[in-house]
Amino acid sequence: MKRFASGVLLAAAATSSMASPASAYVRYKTTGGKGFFWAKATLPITEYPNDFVQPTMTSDQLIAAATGAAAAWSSQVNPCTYLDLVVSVSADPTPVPANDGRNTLIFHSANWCQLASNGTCEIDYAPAALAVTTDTANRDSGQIYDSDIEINALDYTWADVDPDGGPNPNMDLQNALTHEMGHLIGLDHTCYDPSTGAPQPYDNAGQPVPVCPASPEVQATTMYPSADPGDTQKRTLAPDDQAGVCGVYPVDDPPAPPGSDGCACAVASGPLGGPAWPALAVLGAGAILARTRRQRR
Amino acid sequence: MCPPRRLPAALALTGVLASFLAFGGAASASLILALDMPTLVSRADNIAVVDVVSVKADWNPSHQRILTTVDLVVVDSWKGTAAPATHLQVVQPGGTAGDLTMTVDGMPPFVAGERALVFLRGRSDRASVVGMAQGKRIVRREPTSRRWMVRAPDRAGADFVRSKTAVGPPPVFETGDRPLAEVRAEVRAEVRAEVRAPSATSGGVR
Repeated sequence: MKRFASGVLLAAAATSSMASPASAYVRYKTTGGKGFFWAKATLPITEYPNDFVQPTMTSDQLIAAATGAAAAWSSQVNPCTYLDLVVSVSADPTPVPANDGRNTLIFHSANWCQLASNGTCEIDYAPAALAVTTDTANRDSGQIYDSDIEINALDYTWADVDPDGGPNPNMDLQNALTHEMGHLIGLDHTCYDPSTGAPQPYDNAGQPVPVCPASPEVQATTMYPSADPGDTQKRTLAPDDQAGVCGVYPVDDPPAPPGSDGCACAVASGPLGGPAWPALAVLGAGAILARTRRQRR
Repeated sequence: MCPPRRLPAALALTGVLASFLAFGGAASASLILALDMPTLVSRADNIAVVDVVSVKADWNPSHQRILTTVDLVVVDSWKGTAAPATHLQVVQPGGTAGDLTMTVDGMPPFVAGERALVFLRGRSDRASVVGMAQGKRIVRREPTSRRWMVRAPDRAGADFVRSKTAVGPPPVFETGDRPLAEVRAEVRAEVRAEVRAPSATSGGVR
């Protein structure tokens, strides 16, 4: 009872001050601590399915996986954000991922490496990686200019897994793409690996990001860096993920249209470099739950 | 902590079952494939305790991607031909050059001055880290015992994912920091086993 009462007090305090969000998320940050963000409302992504040669997925399924993943982060599914990720498909030869202002989704079937401009391997990617997303951003402001997603179709078998179809040994493409598109919009993993020596990051509320493996709630997020073969859970955003897209790209604070005199910055940063909290209130996760989660983290 | 593969089979099975229960019964796997120690060893051309000398990022020749070059000096070599005091270089995607930052998820961060155990693949002047962040572990001296300890790898709860050619049972992963001497003994035993049976693979990975 005492715990419930303190939870109510915390809920009231949180509601009144809007000082902390109902759900936590983690952003990529510059060395100066600024969160990554896009300064536009619509993010085009071009998918190049021609290099995908596995018989486990049709071209239509490849497109559906990408569009489904994009929709998961977009305004139609999340009314609290203005952001829209729009996937188009190209039959052109697959370009080399680069900082060229074009967001691409490509499949590596013949090699798994960073390609040089002449198409040769410049650096091998680890075969252990299922996918790699590269965000290019301004080192000071954190504004993202380009993002490319590369899928390892050389070492892994991808599929459109039936969520109700029982165990499946293949990796669900939409599941992985939803996670990678979270990186594309500037979100980082929801737990932290201390073994590499990296400093422990902080979430949007200024709390240390939990050490992996974290609580079941954190493990249930799309931005948790772990996925099961055959798992489709990441296709759907968890409250933490939704808080991320809506906190960084809140529907009530869209970026100024291109060419206008308004501020082009999409992020209403708080003292922690975080988002405008009031938009998070619509997410429906209560402060009591938030308190419970923070305790677990 | 003893190397997991030396645990009695029943105890190892109990550990696996316990981890399944702890993680909702799922044999979860990272978006980076979780590698066990034998696989890390077999995939590496050089394994060494190193000091990080410098970390520099710059554009690639076509000015399309940023690459980070990490200069390492070998303290103790466990596999490969790199002698103590010689240098190894890691080149990996991502970094900051000029006013742009390229962030590539999964890449291990390096900081000048730190000591680490690294599993490297490829040429010694252009190596990559095996298994991305899994192939770099911080080495620190324990304040009380003054022993050198290797930070435990963490795979975000990952147990194992089978790639296309995987066979065999899932490996059991270590979960705690371990004395450097113990890890060295395990790695060197793996290297010796690899020399005796060069085609053997372990852990069922790839």
